[in-house]
Amino acid sequence: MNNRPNTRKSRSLLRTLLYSASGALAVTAFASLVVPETSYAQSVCPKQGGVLKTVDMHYKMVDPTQRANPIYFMRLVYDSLLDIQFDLSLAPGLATAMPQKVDNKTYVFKLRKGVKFHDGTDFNAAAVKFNVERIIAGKVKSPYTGTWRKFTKAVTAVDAHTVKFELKEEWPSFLWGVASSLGIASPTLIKKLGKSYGIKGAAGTGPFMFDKFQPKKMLGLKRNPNYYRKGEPCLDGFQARTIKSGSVRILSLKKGDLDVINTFPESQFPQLAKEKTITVQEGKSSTLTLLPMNTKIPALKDKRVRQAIQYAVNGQELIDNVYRGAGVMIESIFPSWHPAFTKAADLSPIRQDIGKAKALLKAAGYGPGGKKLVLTLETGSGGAHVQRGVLLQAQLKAVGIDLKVRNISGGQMFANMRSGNYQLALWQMLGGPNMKDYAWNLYSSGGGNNVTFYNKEGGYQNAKANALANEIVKTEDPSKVQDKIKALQKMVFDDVPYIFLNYRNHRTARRTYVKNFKTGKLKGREDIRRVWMDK
Amino acid sequence: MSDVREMPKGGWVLFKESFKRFLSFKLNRMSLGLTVFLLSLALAAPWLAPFPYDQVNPSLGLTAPSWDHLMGTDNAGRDILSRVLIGAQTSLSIGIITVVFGLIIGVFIGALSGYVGGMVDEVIMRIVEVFMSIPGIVMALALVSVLGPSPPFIILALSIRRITQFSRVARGAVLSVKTQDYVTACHAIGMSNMRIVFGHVLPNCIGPIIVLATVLLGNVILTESTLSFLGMGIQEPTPSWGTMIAQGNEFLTFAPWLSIFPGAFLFLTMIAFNLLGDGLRDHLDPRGGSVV
Amino acid sequence: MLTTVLVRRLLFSIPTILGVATLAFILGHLSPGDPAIAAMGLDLEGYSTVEPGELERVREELGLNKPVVVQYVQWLGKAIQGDFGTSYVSSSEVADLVFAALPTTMLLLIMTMSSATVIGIALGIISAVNQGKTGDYIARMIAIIGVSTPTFWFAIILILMFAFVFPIFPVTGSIDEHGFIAMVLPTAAIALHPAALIARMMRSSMLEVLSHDMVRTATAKGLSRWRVFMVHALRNAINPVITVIGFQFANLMGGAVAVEFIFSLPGLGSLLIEGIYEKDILVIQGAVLVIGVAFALSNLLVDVLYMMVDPRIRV
Repeated sequence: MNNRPNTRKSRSLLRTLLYSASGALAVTAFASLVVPETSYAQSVCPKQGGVLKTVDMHYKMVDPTQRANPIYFMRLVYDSLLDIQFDLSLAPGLATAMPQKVDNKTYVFKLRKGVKFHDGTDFNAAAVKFNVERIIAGKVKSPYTGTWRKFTKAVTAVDAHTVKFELKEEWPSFLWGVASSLGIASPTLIKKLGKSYGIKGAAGTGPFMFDKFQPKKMLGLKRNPNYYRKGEPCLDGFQARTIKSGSVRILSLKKGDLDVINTFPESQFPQLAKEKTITVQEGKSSTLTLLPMNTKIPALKDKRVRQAIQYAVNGQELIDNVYRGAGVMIESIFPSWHPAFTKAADLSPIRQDIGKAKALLKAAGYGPGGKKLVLTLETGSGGAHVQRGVLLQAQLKAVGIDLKVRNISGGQMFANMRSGNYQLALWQMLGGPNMKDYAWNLYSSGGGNNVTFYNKEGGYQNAKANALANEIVKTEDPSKVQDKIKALQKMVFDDVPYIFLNYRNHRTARRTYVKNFKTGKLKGREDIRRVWMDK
Repeated sequence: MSDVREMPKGGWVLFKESFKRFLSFKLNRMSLGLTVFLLSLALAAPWLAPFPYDQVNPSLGLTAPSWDHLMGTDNAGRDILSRVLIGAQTSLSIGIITVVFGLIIGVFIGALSGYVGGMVDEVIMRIVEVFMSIPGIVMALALVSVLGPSPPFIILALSIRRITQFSRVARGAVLSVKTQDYVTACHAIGMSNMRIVFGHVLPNCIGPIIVLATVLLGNVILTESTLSFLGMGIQEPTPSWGTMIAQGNEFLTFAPWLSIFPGAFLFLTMIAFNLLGDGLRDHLDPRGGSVV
Repeated sequence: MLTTVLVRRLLFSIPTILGVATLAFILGHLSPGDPAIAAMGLDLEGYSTVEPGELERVREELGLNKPVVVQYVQWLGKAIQGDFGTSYVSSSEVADLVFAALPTTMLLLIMTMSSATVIGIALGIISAVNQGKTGDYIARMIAIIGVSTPTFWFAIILILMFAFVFPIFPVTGSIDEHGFIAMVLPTAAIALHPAALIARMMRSSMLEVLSHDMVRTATAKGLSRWRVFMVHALRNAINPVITVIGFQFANLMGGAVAVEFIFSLPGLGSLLIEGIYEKDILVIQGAVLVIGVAFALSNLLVDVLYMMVDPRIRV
């Protein structure tokens, strides 16, 4: 019987297999000895090198407690315990995993081991504790101080790599707070440089290290070769400066003096879109444009006047003329990308209706034959601000309101809004994917951004709306409070403590050789770590 | 001692003669004509303007010059020709009021200081020096930022430097005349101080002062335009050439008419006043007493 | 002799400088708005930083409750020592900001004045020598156009030409990045005015001197025309021009402010404008003070130079 396998064929097959296997083994062994470690890096970065040059350097110090636009500049030098992803979810950063929620007011983080600050000192729990306490102490002026002070009871370094946060009360957006406002800086360097920290030197754990800095003028960073995420960043360095003129910015981009620009005059967009060497990206509904009104002022305390102004304005006109189409009308108190977005059933209270505007003004005593209504609107001084001011002026004039426009600096405008020293202002608000920014913060009696004094002392009161806002903010799950959101929305669109104008989509422009620069829903939060340049 | 009867003709007659000589030159007649033309445009602007200067038409934004809109429209669809004309009225009226205000106060201070002399003169001149140490625009910017950019405060801010300039010139002119023999003679025959000042001293100053006023008018318009360009001047919707040029910056590469027309008018106005000032200086102030 | 005059003038300038300081303080103090609020920072995230009593505490800390005169004296005392305070808005030392910005502006002004002087004198001589001929008319036209062109307008034109049409010079950035070449366009923009003015002054001064008897005598004596020119005419014609140069220096600042703004140059002009935008009172005070003192001193310097050049004038 012939049931023996074809020995010759199988032997040659076996030989082939053996040879290829040993060959492969030999090659791999040889390769791992000769080819350097970059083989791992190449899987992350197709190309290493290059210095990314951009503009809009508004920072006064390179300090994690500072916030300016674009926000990602600080993320280059400082990491936080949690990272914000492109889809706005959170992932572990300097922490090894999402924190353990011991109870509603206690969170425990496990920290990554072996991470060093740029000055060589160790990253550990004591450093985290130091940074939180630094924000709370408020010696360095920070927009995050109030928040951390309100909620933090104690931060404890349980051991070198475990840190415990104990809160005074429930903080529904605690994780977002950690991810967005708690960059970790080297306590050693902070203590050493004192007041000059952030100006003469800075050290975090981030992908880039402090090299050169001129407050509000120029920022130069170089690659951190010991970044804890191996292989990142792909770039060798980063540079940002200030160029005031929009046209010069675009020109510099075309010439290659700049690689990315974060803001440019919208009017240039049609031409930029035609450029072959430039890519423009748009992030939808990122900025909520509102006109806060000081309801302490008798004229503005009258709901009819506010409603009249809302009926007089035409947000779409601003989108078409000033934003060149980069915007959408408001359909909810939350932006379209927000988890809590709920389209209102009736949008007519916040759409233009000149007839209703005039009728309401007349009822309030300001119509023809009545008193003359004169109001002042404060805006910033950039081109888009001025242009919007001009159009709003005309829109209000059409219903008989004399609107004076003052173009001042953003800082001044905020200070005036805070102190109640204004009548109307043009505010571009940027919030996060949490429940407080677009509701509680704006409409409740405790809201720090509630510059209209709606439900605050001296302003227009609506106790029910206040109660709803306070309820909604207690959870981070919109599905639990759907009805309350709808109810609050209806009330707020009726009370109009803010004039609801529109959403502005922010655009960024980059050269086509800049890869992986992704502009997302939130303005200025791009992740540069895997950006590479194909030059 | 000079014979009183040989006193030179009263200052005013001399002045009239100089002016007639001024007009005999073609270039001077042209620059005077241009100036008058511009002033009339500014005066008649509200009637000449084809559209209201603040009428917006967003869908017609940034249209190029055409028969409908001879100078095109700006971003909000406003007619640029109308805005340039009203801008002329704005800038020129602010300029004239500033110069007149500065002239009245400055000449008064300067003449007083020069005539009285002594400690008063020293103190006043020190104060004037302090204000002269701060460049005009720096002063104007600081004042406007403090007081707010409403027209009266802009005028006040712009006139500070003019007051110093007029007072310097007035003082210089008074000083140069004060010591002349015929003034001593007038004094001797008992002419009152007032009559001396208004009848003899001032007419000799008039020449340099008129030249200065013309030149300064150009300067003030330029400073106001710079202020507006920097955002610290005339506020919307009132047009000013400086604001228009600033707003037009953004569109310079594809809609230059926003900046070109106000710029051209500003340029023309400056030329008119400079040429006029030149011609006047040649005849009314040959000694250069109006140089500040 | 000259030194005593110099010392006397210097002493006399002290009350002037004091006056400038007072003026700077008044301007800052008149600024509306409560510096304490600015100093407390802006809470953009949402929870107010203002705890009860905190506003008062900050006001106390900043010394805002003291009487105005006391605040003035304290500010002045510190200013003399070079401490202009800490900005309420940006937490930087105002003195650091001001003295970092000063060199850029000074360099810009000096470069402007030098180039304007050279060009102006040259143009003026050309004009005077070719009086009545084409060369004269062209030069005079250039001068008139130069005087009438608004500085900020000219700056924009320069940017258009050199950035978009002939990209030779950089239109933005500071000396650190590009070297001196970054100063070329800004200098050109500001220098147009004074160059034109100097040209006109030089022309009329030269013409007047050339008609003097002395010059005609020298020519009659047989001295070469060139020698007459350079040695005699020029030397006498220069004097009134130097006066003009001195007076023009302060006016340059006006152009410098706008130009620094347009070209994003980090000088005193930019600093002042930013301070005004942000209502940063201490920065406004510091900038006005330093600018005022710098110009008071430069006026003094010009006066002394003038005295040195023309021995007939010893005021």
